[in-house]
Amino acid sequence: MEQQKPLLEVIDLSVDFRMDRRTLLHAVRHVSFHVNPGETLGIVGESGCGKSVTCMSILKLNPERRTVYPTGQILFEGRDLMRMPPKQLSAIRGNEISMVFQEPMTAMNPLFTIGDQMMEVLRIHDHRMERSKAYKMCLEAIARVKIPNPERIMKSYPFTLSGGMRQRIMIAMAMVTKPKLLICDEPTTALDVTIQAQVLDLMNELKQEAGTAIIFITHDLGVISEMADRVLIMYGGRVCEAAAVDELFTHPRHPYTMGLIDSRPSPDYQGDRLRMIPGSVPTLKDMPEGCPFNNRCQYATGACGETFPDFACASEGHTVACHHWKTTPENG
Amino acid sequence: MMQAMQNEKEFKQNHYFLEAEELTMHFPAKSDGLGRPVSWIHAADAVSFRVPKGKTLGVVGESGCGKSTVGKMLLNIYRPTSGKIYYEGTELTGLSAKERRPYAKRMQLVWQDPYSSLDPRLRAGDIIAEGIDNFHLASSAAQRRERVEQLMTMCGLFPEQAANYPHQFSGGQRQRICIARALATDPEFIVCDEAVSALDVSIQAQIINLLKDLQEELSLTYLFISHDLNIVHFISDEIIVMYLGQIVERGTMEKVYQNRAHPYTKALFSATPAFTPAEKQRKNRMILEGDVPSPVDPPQGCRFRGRCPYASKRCEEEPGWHEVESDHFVRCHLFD
Amino acid sequence: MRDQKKFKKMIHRSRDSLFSDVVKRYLRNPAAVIGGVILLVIVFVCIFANVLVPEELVTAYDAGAMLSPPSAEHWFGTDNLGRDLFARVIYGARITVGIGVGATLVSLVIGAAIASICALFKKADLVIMRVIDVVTCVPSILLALVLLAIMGGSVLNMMVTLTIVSVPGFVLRIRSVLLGVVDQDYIHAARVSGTRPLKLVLRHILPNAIDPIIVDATMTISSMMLSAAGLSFIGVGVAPPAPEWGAMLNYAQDYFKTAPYMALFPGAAIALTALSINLVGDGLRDALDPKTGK
Repeated sequence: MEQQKPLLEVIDLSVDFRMDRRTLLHAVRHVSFHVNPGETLGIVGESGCGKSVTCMSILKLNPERRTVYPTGQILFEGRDLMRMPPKQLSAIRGNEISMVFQEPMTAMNPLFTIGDQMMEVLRIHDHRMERSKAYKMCLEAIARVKIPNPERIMKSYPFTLSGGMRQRIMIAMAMVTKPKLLICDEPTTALDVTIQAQVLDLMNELKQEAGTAIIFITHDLGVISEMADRVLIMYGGRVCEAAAVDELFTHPRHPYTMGLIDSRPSPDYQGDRLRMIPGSVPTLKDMPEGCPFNNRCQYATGACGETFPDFACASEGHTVACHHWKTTPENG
Repeated sequence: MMQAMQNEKEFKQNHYFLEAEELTMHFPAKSDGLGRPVSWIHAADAVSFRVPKGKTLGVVGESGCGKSTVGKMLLNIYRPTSGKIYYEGTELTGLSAKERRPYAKRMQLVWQDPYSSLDPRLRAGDIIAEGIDNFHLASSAAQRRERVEQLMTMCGLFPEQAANYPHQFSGGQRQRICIARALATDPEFIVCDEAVSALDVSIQAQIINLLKDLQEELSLTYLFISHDLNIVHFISDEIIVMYLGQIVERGTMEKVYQNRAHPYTKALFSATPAFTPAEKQRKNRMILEGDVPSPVDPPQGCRFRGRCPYASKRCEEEPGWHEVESDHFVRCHLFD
Repeated sequence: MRDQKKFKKMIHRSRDSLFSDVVKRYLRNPAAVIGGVILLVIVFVCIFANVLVPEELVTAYDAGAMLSPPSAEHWFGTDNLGRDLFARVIYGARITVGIGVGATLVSLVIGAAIASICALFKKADLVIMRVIDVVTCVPSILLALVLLAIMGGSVLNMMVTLTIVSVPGFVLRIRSVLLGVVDQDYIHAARVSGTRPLKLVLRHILPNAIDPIIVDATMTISSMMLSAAGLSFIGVGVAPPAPEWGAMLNYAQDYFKTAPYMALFPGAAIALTALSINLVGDGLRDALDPKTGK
């Protein structure tokens, strides 16, 4: 149905981490997805599911000496970022694709003022930019994230600001180059709920204004349902389900997605106990064969322990990777 | 003496077995050259509440609101600046360290971070047995072992894992160890300080169910501290909402949820992201301006007035308590 | 089934199972084992010096063989007074290693005890820190000189002096490590479980602070040996005929060109001792941490 060309296409991406000479951990296995221009794609999963690694791979920000990319193509506007020379890639990094991280404190150097750090970002990409012009652009960027008194902020140091302020500054810094794609890795996890609401609101507004596409990584289903247009559910380094946000929350087809949604207490839920997924989240070292979810799945059969299921199309734009998706009861 | 006995009887009748009266905790923020503090962090200011026996009291609020401080004062990790704590009618705050010790056995804590709250150098079994050893609850090594095994089974761990070190467990399992450790002394009252916040979503549900199972089985009373309203709503019978060291609203969970009175409570509930489409529709979003002010020398009068959309002149005075309905109280001038 | 039984047996920890764990992990580290072997040899030499070489040789002047290079008769050669260097190095081990290890251990224990009090009790901390401020105002060399001058130079006095001089430093360094540990959640958790201060320190706080303390202590042993040598050289330390390694090095200075072996053997002895102590220290630190190895 989508007529437009995707902005970013990730095709069959795998990422391995070399631990020592003998062990190779498969952090991400055969992941494919795309992001359309101006769209928000949410990636949801628990710790170790490979959601952050996937996104770090887009800009090749994984620790270089330990990372191997056995398969995969990452097409950004048709250009393959995987095989791009480092110089070209760093021109795209921070310019056309920006990132916002979870912990805004560690992403900033405590020895320099906010202004210095923001202007540096601009001047890395355009060496001839005058200081006064950079200063003006930064002021505008700070004003755009609704921080009162931008001049004062430019002169202050990161540690004098609150967590919410710092995250806004990070967003302002990421947006100052007017990127086409913004990757947000758990940007509001460290914030209080009322501050989180402010920041999410702001991001939605900026997105509408600038038409930036966003990849939003989180473990919080609530946040994703308020932010994303489409959602990718990841587990054990694999994508297990992808669908439009409302479709996913009303008609989840993968047992993991169902379990995840059920295990969050919703105010409408009447039961005395929460429905839960048994067992614990596997680490990369003890990832089961076949479908990574098979040892915690109530519908698992012999086939699940042998092969990873092919993607099936459950409905328009809704794909699921489960051997039994047709027979599992559909939530509604 | 008679008076004390009378009190105790009354408390038992009311089923409130733990009561905090005007608990206040001020930490020195800045000191002058001689080490005398010149400004104070108001972590908790005149916090009063009662915990019903066998029930769960939820405490919600954002970082810096003093919810953890309250839990730590109850367990004597912090000594309150002023205020009183009654446990079944006995005033704990007036006791000497020696007299207080038996109560340490009856009140326990489950910590937020299952990674930093277990001693990395001890085996799981020994961590759990710590309380048993300290209060001499086992008369022999065999009895001690049996008790540890029983606790581990109760918390969903395998007794064979007792010989493992904390780093060999996953986050959820570590939290189960923490719970087993808390249960080792047969407590009646447990403070759960953000007990599931650090866990993965699918594991949170397991731990919450475990806490509920244990509560039924051992008739425990919980003080459940969390910033996650959905979870507090699910687990609590009563709730207190805190903002900048003060309680702004309290009552039974359902009444507060259905009929949120304080503007801050409203904002807090509306800021909690909803994920079912039905819930999303129902919700009218209310986004607060500004940040939580610093707890160092907080504003006079109502502490929320700087961010409150309904603030007016009278909010510069300290608001009093008002009854919204039975078992539901709010501290706001809108109800004058 | 047998596994199950084995596990059950392991559940009840006793002191020796914890200890055997540490030993197992230690033995898996080859460098630590080598260091340990060398250190054992040195300790063996210290204890059985009189069995290896007759004690008279240490001070026996052989006027016919002054500054003679190593030979079958004098394995390490002789010094400027014709004394057998092998015997002197062997007996020197007792003095130098004894002073270094002894003074370090004593000041470590005292320092750790005071630091623990500082970490646990705020008011005591305030007082102790002010006292230490005053003590550290006096240069340590000056303090050592004064103390030795009053007490007179002997091995025991040297140890006492070095201990007194190094305790404040130990307190400061251990205290800063302990303060980091004391605020950890698991310390609070142990307190909530009713753990009393003494047990808290011995079972939770010190074991978790042990890594930097061990590294610190091993470094201190070598620096103590050097301090002892320096003081001996000035003439306030161990009295001249005693074969202290550092003192021997100092005598050797004048003959460095003609008789380099005079410096070589005591020097090598100091280096070897320091190296083996450091290897053992590293190995211990790793072995005490359950996270290394499975």
